[in-house]
Amino acid sequence: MKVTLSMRIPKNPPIPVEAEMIIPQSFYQGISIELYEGNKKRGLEEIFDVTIEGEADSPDEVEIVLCGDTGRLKRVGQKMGSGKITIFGDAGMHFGNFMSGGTITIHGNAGSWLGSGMTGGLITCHGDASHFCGAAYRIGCKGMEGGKIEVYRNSGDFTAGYLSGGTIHIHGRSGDLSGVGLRSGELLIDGDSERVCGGMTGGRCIVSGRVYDMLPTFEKKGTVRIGGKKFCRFEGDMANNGKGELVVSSFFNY
Amino acid sequence: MEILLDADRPLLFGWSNSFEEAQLLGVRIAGLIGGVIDNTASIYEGPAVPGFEELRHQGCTLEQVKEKSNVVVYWGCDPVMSHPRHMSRYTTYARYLFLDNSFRKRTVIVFDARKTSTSNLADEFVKIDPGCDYAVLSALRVIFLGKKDLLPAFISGVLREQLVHIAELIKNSRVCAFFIGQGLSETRGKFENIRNVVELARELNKHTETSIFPMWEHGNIYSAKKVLNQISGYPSSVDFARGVGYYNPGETTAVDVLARNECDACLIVGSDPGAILPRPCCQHLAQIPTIQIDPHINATTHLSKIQIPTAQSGIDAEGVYYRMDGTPVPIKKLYQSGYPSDAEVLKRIYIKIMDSKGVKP
Amino acid sequence: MKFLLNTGRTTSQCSNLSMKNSFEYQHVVSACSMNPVDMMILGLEDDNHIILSRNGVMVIVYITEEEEVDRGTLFLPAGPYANFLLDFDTHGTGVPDFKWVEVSVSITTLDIIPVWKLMAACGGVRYEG
Repeated sequence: MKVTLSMRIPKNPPIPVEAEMIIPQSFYQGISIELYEGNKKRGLEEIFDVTIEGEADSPDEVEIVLCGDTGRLKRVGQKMGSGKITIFGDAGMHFGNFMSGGTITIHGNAGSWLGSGMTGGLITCHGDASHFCGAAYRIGCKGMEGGKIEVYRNSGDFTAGYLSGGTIHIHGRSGDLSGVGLRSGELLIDGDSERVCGGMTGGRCIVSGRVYDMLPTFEKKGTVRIGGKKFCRFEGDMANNGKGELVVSSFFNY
Repeated sequence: MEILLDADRPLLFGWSNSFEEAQLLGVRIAGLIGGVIDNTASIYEGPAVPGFEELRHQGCTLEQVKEKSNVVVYWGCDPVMSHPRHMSRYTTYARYLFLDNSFRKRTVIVFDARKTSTSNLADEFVKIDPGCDYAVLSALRVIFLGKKDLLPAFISGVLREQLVHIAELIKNSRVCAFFIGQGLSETRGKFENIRNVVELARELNKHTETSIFPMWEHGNIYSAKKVLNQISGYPSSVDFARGVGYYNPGETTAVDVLARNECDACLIVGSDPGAILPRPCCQHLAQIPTIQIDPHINATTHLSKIQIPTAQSGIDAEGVYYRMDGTPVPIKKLYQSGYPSDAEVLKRIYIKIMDSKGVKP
Repeated sequence: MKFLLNTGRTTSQCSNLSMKNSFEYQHVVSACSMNPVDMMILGLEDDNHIILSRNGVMVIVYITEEEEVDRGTLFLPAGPYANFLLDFDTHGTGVPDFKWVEVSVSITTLDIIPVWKLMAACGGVRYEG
């Protein structure tokens, strides 16, 4: 089953649409989908032009394609367990949060809290990811617990905050305090970053670029070679009696 | 009232110069119309609020600080300028019941990125590189854990030995009070700085009695936070769009809602966002129907479509203000003017909204 | 020339809080403190007007000499003039960057505009009371 949802032109101002019901499971079960635009409840057809092709025997076979002004959509793919969602455009906030399986592919930029609290599945973002990518919400203390997030460009501040499992791979730069409070899991940053892994207690972080304002609370533990390149290895954060591993290519202001 | 009822995503902002009664009505109106309610705590002391809620730090009253503390730490704040009576009433110049000559024997430590009027009065002044508070806080925690030798000699512009000396001072104090200001909560790291300072206080409580106070500004902001917390469970920036309160700073905070052009109507009570919010927010306020309920003509008046003048708290309106440690302070009025208080205006709006929604009181 | 702009509250600003359209408030919140050495390098004297610009937005303020301000930094009271320069990016925290934003400084002879004109530049309409 292929579901194509094309967003209609919004009225002014562009009020965000809470669309947590847009998951493969909903279309497989054929339940009526309700969305919230501000404080008003809307039907799916009021916001999207909907095209459904084919049928599915399980949620795995459902593919949702979103296009148009998708930047004002929030919570698409929340708690999804299987299937596939593809976004040809920008993604709003909370895409794929708490998802446990399936695949989300974003061809534009992603909003904040991408994949927060996810326990499984794969999120691929071909543009930039905003702040708190894979990080914990402010009320909770656990970030992403499993699965994988791959961002092909840059990510914002507090990326992978309180990461508790899974892998986050940022191919570009990463913002300030990336990997803050890292507990377990793996954070890979190919570009530069700032003050990585403050307060980490476990897990592993590899920064292939430069780290600016390196935190003083990490203990140097020699060097390692990864892919023929020499990296500096740190252990910490000492302030939290942490045993996390931070591997950086070069660092400043230590 | 019709503006608020017709709106898909109304924002109710301010509440820092109103009494508790008006704040309570504000939360009820937000719940009825499904709006976003935010107070100025989210902008200035914003990171401090969730930092405290998340880590459940319990404070004490300022009287406890006045009578017992022999070490006072000011981090990123300048009370001489922002809270002129604070030091003379509660800390540096206040009489200390359990110690003679308290003015000379009370140690004042100031951490700041710039020299201030307060730092000139301090016994110890630690000048941190701009935006590097997080590293210094972490370094202090490492020193308290007894691993000072593993730290580098210079930490964000501060000598390690100076930090060790200060850590000893704090450790040997009887009661230590931390006052944290916007220099900590508004720089790089924001709420993570606050988390770090609360973690530091936890570590310190193993050695001495420690309390943290955010230096609340904006009059009755503590009450706005308290009222919202009691009704919705969250201290600021609550979105009632779906009937129940939803709180996520960075998404439901006034600056984000306005800057992303999300709201389509705004009610401002007892505050002046024109003077305190960044330019893109003011631009959006000018585009949408903005209603201001305030005693003064201020910067926001030029941005609003409707201005309702009200009585000024403490001049021609009376009620209860909350001090920054949560102690209620009754405020009397000087004279009776013809203006209604903001609670009276809001009550009329609330009753009309209830009537139109068919809700019985 | 690039400077780091810091904002904060001052007592004199708060004493004029209820008269935000008055000249006194405008005078207090448009007072930008600078280190005397920086002033000498730029050829500035007390009460000279300067343009602070950032990301294509500019605002005119006047200079006051302050030895306690570090070199390469400026201090401006947190008011409409300082906030006019700020970005809305809150880094997902709800708090804009009020502290240590980079601004360019240039000298001007233009007058400081009143608060209502700043609001008019944001799309507002003057309320004359």
